[in-house]
Amino acid sequence: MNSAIALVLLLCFLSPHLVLSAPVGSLAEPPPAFTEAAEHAKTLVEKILKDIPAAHSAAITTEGLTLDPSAQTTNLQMMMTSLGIPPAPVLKPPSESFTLDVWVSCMSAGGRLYQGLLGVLSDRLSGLSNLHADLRDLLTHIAKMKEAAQLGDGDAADQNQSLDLASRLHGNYEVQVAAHLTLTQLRSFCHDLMRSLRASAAYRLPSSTGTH
Amino acid sequence: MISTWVSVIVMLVAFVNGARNEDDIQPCAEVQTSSSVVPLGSPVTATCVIRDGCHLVIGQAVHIEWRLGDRSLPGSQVANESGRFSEVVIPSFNHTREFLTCCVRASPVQVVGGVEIRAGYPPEAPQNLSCQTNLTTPETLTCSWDPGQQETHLRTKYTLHIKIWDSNENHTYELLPGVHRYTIPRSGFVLFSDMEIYVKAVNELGEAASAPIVLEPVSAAKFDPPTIVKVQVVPKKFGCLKLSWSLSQQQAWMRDYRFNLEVQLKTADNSQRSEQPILVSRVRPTRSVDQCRLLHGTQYLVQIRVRYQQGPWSEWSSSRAGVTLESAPTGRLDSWMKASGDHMHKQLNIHLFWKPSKQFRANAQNVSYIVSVKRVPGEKGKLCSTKGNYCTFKLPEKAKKVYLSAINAAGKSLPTEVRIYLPKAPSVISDVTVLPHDDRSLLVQWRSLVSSSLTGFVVEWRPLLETDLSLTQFEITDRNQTQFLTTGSFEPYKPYGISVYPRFKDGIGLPQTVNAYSRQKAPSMVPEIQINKIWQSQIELTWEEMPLDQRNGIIQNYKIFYWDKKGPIKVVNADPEERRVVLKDLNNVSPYKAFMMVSTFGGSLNGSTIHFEIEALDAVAVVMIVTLSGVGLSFLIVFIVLTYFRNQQRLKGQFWPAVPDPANSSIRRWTSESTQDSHLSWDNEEPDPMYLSHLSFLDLPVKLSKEDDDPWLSNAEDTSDLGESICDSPFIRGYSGSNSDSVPYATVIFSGPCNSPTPKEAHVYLRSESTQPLLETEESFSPKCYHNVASDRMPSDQCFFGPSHDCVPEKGADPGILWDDFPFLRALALNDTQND
Repeated sequence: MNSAIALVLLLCFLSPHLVLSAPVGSLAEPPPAFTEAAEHAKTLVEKILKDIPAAHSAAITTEGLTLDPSAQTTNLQMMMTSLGIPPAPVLKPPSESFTLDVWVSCMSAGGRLYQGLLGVLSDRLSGLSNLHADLRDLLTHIAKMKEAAQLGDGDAADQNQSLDLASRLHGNYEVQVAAHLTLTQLRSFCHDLMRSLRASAAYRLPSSTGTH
Repeated sequence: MISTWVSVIVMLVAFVNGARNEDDIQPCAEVQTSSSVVPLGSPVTATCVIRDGCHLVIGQAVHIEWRLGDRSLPGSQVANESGRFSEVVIPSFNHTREFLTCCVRASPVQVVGGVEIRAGYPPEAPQNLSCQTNLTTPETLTCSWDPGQQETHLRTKYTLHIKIWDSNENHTYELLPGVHRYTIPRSGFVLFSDMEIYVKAVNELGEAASAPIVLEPVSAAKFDPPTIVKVQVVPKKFGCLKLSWSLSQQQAWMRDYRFNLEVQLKTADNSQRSEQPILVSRVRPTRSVDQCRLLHGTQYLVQIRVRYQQGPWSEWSSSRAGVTLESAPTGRLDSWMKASGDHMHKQLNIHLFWKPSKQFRANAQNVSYIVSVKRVPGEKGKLCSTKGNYCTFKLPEKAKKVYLSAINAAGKSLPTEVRIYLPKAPSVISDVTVLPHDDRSLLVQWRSLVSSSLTGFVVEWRPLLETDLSLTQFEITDRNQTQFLTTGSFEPYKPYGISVYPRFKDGIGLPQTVNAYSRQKAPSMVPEIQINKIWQSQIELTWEEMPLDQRNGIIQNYKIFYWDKKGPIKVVNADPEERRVVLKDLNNVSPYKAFMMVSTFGGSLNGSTIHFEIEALDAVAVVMIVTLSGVGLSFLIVFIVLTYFRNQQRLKGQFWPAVPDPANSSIRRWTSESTQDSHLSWDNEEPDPMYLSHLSFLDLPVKLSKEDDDPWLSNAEDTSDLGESICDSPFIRGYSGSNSDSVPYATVIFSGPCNSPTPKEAHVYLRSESTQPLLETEESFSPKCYHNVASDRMPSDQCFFGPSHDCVPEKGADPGILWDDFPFLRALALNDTQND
């Protein structure tokens, strides 16, 4: 895994604890472009959630690999480690403790993570191209959110990310397991995204953030 | 084809020239043009330079020729240093593709070089570029355009260019030739980002690009038909329905966006439909939509369709029904009343029909109607209550009007007053005609007399094949109207009875009724022909009336086609009302065939063929003849008998003339003028002397000239007592008559009886013959007067007259005694003897 992505993801985990003592500034309405981009992002997340089951059933033919957690009998933790698939980034709604900048960066990092994974898997499996394109659209709108909110390019280090997943997909089983884990984690990530995006509708930007 | 051959020739020439100069592979000539691809119709200039090394021109004068395809072109040969250079100018190149060759005039002409020239037009800018997004898997964006009207004649490449603004991505898609649409995969577009799209057309003469369009793919998406989740009433809001709807399951992720919605509402009975769909802008699928200003208590069928922003409309959703809140009926009911019944008992049967007026609103799905004699409907005075459109009741005595109200669960309407009119005799309507207007309507026209009391008309129509009175419909028109277009469900080929009633101020007049069809066709059946009567050369055919449901139209006529083996087909038309026809002038030589064709205004149908034969003398004819003969004979007999009885006395006198009874006669009585007048007939009918030899005339009042010398006549005067009596006396003793057994008689017939004193008719002289003694069989005609002659024994020879039973001849009796009893007869016998 790319060290930059790992750094961002680590930030996503740690930020709620690190920024607890951030000062409370004056709040302002987010700019319309931000809201609109967030709305589109939310829609796309909904679309991804709708598309995941179809993509899963289209791409994964191995029995026992199912999206239904109750029917999942195999422990794939070791496989996930060996394949180098990172866990889904934890997302919280933006708040004073979980700043908008970090929140957007986490969304972007997670999106890029799964876009990269799906990009690799799309070469080996069919039925994932729609999700791949949806994630690309999602990232576009996350970028628009950043631009609208004039957030810093916190994930600039993520550029030129290259996952080494492709080199670990030796056989078809690895491909199936990797796709299954990716889709499972993507669904979990999207649920987090949905929650945080809904919560962001009520979020008010700190005035200092919104003005510079 | 020609150009192909030319190219082959050029190649061969080049090959030959090259082969000959293996060391020098340079071609013999070089042809150059200003451009190998030119606009169609533009000038083309070409040059041909013969190389010095070309063996064709070594040491000889060169004459260069140009050819375009297989046609020579005049070229201008320019003398340069080598003198082997030529230039040709084609002022207007009108071929799309042609070979221009340079030739050297030799024997034969040698092609030394050539070039292909193609011509066409630069591409037009593609028009009408449009794109539509498909959001069902696989998600795509399909763009299409028009390439332009003009054919370029050149290979034109189209490329689709896409620029995604948000990500600054550019995509170019090369398209297959001749295909003017392209489907971009999902990876090529972003759903929520504006994209600039244009099409570029390129060929050898130029390029052109369409006007770019900018669109957000999701805004160009045609969504699946939405789903109406629920249609429900809005509490306490009459005439409103609340619609809950959603996008399809596959597109539910768009539920937070605002859509444009179109709502189509129509009543469940199809009576009312919103002409234009109602547009509801910018609504979210998560929010319901209220539709108001609807009819109360009415079931509506609702359909919706959606589009996002200015995208294409989805297809209509499936229908969903909803019922608005009920309220009391409003408005007036149009009614039509027909009264009939017993005037003596003053109780009328009333048929009351009604229908909603344009203003009437039932305001409920279930509405019933009450007819009452009281204005406020209640159980008292209620005549009938029904959910139908008519009611039949007996009008209570003295009631002049009734009240009609509509009632539903929410309340009652204001009553409609219906005046009861007695039927009136006058009919002012004539010439009712019905024309089919279209499949669903009939045009009824009529004429009416001008009447001051006329207030209008009622047009009533009903299906004749149905007995259900609820199918009766009516329309009330004003007095100026003389036609009406009936609309409704007129079934084709079914009969409808249409009546037009005049409405007066004080009643309804008699109607004029006609039958009509909205559309007619040939009948479904042809009645069976029955041979009713056969005469000598005629036959009567009859048939039953066709059932109404089999007619399919108004019977125009019945035609009978009949023919025999020899003759042509003859046709007889029958009156549709009479249903009988007589075929005449049939011959009895060969059997006949016949069939019937029934025609309506919509077609004809032929029936089955029947066979019949005219018999020479059939039983009926024999019976007829015998009967007639018998009757005739009977009449004749009766006539004869009657005549006989009428003329009994006369005949009696003629056949058995009265022989004067000498005992009761006198000469005076026997002398009559009539006897004198009868001599003329005697002249005409001179008796046969042979038979007359037995006749003795004792006295004749007129002397016959030829018999002047007859001593009979002279002597007769002496015996004038006998007068004019003519007495035949064959029964002279010793007379045996002629050679036969018969006995000849001569008889003079008088017009009157023998005892008539003055017979007026001419006497007729008759001759008769009998093998029987005349008087034996005609006893009844014997004068009774002879019975008084006392005679105990009458000899048979003398028993001339009388039916006396005692008259049994006794042989051997003395005849002399008898002659003594009849002195006058004896005198006659004596005369006879003397004559002999």
